Amino acid sequence: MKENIKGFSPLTETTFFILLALNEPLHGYGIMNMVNELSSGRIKLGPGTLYGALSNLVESKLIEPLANDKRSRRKTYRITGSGRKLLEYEIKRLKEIVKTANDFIRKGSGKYERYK
Amino acid sequence: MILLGKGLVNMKDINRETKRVFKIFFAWNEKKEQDWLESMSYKGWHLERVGFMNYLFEKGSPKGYVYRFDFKITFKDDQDDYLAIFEDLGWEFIDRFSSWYYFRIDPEKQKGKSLEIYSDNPSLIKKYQRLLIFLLVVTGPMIYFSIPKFIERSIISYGTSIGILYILLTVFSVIIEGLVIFAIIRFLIKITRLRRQGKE
Repeated sequence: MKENIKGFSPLTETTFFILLALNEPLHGYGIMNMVNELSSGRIKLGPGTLYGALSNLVESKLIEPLANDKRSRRKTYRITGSGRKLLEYEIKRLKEIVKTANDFIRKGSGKYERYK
Repeated sequence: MILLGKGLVNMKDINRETKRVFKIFFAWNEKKEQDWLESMSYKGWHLERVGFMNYLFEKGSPKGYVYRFDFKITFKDDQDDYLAIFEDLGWEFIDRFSSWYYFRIDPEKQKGKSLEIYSDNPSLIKKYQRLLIFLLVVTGPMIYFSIPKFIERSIISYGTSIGILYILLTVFSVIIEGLVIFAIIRFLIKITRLRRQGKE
């Protein structure tokens, strides 16, 4: 299972934010606004991109449509257990990247002398 | 009140002014088609229906609609979900022609929203890949099997009236084949360019 999840990494920035937004159940409009907010206004989701991401995520069982919502035209989605695992894996990976980059810039590249 | 309401609707129907325009656009030239539809909307002509090489417009007040097209092939029955998401994000579905879906957005009313239906490169690349696969899978074998047959038959029956028919069919299918190959090359170039940009 864990190996499977690593296969989805790295997520594109858009997919990452959609998965993050779905920590709470949301429909299309809510996802668009939440992603916009979470990305400090950088990501303005287009419907083609959102539809593609949602159907891929549902197919990979990383998110699911809410059951009581089947009759409504607007579907509400939320993250699944494996989706959350993937999100945690991604957060850890991104943290490591930021830490390494920060150390490299602030503390200098002395540690990597042998590669010069 | 209800009667009055109905009467008004009927009046509107009678006053409805429409026009049909015949025009050819190629799939690799989406921008040209978008720009044309946008310029029509500035003149108050708003797209109603899309057919083979023809467009039906309805007269209204001038607007600055932005038009976009999506290419979608479905094997599952998810068109409702698909259209609901577009609607939810402020896009109006106009019509579908074969696997092409026509949408528009009013930038005045939908401030701060994406004016592109594909807001990142990976998803736009996927759209063009779907088109490429469609071109290869659907038109490829058709051309492969039909052209040699037409050529063979036009040689066999050369000089007869059937021969002329086959020659015409051969010329026609060679033109189609040329267009399809050209389209495939254009889409490959588009995909390569998007990949090189490398941004999400």
